Amino acid sequence: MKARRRARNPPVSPSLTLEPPDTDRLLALTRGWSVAGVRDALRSGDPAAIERETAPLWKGTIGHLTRFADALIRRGAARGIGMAKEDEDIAIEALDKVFGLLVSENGDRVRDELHLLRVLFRAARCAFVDSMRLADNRLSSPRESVPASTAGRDAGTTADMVLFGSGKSAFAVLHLLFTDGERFGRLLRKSRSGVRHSRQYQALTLYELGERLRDDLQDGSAAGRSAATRFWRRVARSEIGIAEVTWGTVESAACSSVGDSPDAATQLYETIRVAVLDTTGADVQNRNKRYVMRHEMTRFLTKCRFDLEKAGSLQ
Amino acid sequence: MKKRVEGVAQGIAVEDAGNGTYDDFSSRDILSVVSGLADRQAARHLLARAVSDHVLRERIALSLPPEDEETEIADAVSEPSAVSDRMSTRVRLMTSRYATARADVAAANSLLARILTVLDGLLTLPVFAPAFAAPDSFGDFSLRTQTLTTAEGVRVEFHQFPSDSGPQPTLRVIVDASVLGASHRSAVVTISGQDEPSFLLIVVLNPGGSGFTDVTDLPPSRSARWLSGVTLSPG
Repeated sequence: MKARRRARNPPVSPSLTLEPPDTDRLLALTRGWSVAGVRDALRSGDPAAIERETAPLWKGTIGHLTRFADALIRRGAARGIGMAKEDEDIAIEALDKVFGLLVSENGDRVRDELHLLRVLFRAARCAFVDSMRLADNRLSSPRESVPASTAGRDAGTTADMVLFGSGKSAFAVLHLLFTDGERFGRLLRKSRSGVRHSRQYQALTLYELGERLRDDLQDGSAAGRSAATRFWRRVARSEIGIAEVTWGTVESAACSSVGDSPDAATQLYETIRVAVLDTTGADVQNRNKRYVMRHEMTRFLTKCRFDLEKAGSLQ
Repeated sequence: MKKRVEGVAQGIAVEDAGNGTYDDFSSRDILSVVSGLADRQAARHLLARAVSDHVLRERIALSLPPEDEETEIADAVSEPSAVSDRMSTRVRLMTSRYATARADVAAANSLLARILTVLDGLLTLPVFAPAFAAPDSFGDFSLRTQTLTTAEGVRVEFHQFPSDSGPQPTLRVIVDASVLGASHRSAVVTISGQDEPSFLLIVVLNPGGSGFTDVTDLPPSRSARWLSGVTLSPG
C-alpha cells in the first residue's frame, strides 16, 4: 500500500535548498534511528515501537532544537517581537509537527535522515512563527501613500487583491505566460478576451508583483522585509517561472520605490514601471491601461480556467 | 475536490468539503510547503491564497528559510546537549499522543479504510443514475452495471434491472472476495447519500468467498448515491 501511495504522489513542489554545505555535525545526529523506523512506528501507534524508534531521534536533537529556538527568540526579542512560547515549547512543537508530517502521506517524501533533521529545524522555525505575536500593521490601507484625491478610487490595487483570479488558476496561467507566451497568446485570442501581445501581459504581471513586493517592504520590519523578498522571489521564480535576471530587476525596482508615491500622472510607481519596460519592452503606461489589462486577464482566466490549468500544469 | 475520510461509529464516512476550496491552511501545510514536502498543487494552492492574504503571507514568508539557515543550524548543533528529565517527560507525553491514537491509526489502516482510499475517485455510482432521474425509488430504468475492484482485489458489482415478478426493480450486489480465501463469511456494503443515513447491504459469502444479494426495498433514490465502504466479516 505504501508503494502504491508513493506512486500516486504527484511530483514534489520545487524544493528549497536542502543540501547542506557541511553535513558532518548533522551526520552525527543520525545515529541510532532511521526515517523508516520512526515513520513506521508512529504510523503503527504501537507505544513500545514509538518509544524504541523515536527516542534516539528526540534524545539526540531536542537540545539542539531548543538552542535553535532560543536563538530565534533572542533575535526576535531584539526586534521587539513578543513571543507566546519558550524555547523548549518550540522544540517540542517542532518534533510534534514533524511526527505528524511523518504519519501523513507527505511523510513518504522525507528522503533520508539528514533530510528529516533539516525538516525538524524548519519545523522549529514554523513553530517559532506560530508563537510570534505579529502586529497586523495592514489594518490600515497599504496605500497610505496614495494621494488623497485618488485613494478612494484605488481600492482595486491593494496588495491583498487576488492576482487575476483566485487559487492556483492564477499561477497556472501566469506560468504559461512566462514559459510559453505563444501558446498563451493563442489561447487568449481564442477566448476573445484580449488581442495584445503576451509581452504586454508579462509586463502587467511583473508590475503587479513588483508593486505587491513594494507594499510589503513598505510595511514590514527589517526581518519582515527580508522575509517578504523571499516570499515573492519564491512565487515569481518557482511558481510563475519568471527568469532570475528579470525578477532581479523588478525586485530591485520594488526596493527602490519604498517610500515613493505613485506618479501623479500615471498613478503607477515609476521605478517599477520603467524596470518592467526595460525587461519586457512593453509599457504598462498608466493606471487605466493597467485596469483594462487586468480585466482582460480576469475574463480570460474565467473563460478558460480548465484549459489553462491543464496547460499550466503541463509546464 | 477535497474529500476527507473519517472514522464513524459504524465504519467510514466520506465528507466532501464542497467546492474544492481549502478554507483553512494549517501550520503543518505551511511546514510541508517550506520543507518541499508538499506536492506542487498543494504548494500552489497555499501560495496563491497567500498572495491575497497578508496574514498568511507573512506567516509563510517568515517560515521560509533565510539565506543563513545553514549557519543557524550549525550554531545550534555546534555543542553537545544533554536532555533534562523534565524535557524527557514532556517529549514522552507528546509522543504518547501518537500511541493513544493507535485505534484511529489501526482504523485508518484497516481493510475498509484502504478500500475507501482506492475507491475515493469512484464513489459516485453511475449505476444509480437512472434512479436519480426517477420520481421516486428505483423507477423505470434499463439494466446498468458497475464494477469496482478494491486494492485487495475484492470485486463489487452492482447490477440494476427490472424484477421478473413485478414492477418493483431490483438491485443486485455481487461481492467476489475469493482472492482473500475462505476466511470471510459475509460482506457489508455501505451505501451513503448526501445528508441521508447510510444503509447496509449484507451479502452472504459462500466458502469460495463469493455471493450476491438482491435488494428490492430500497430507500428513495436520493439516499443511495455513494458506495462508502465494504467490510468483510471474518469466518
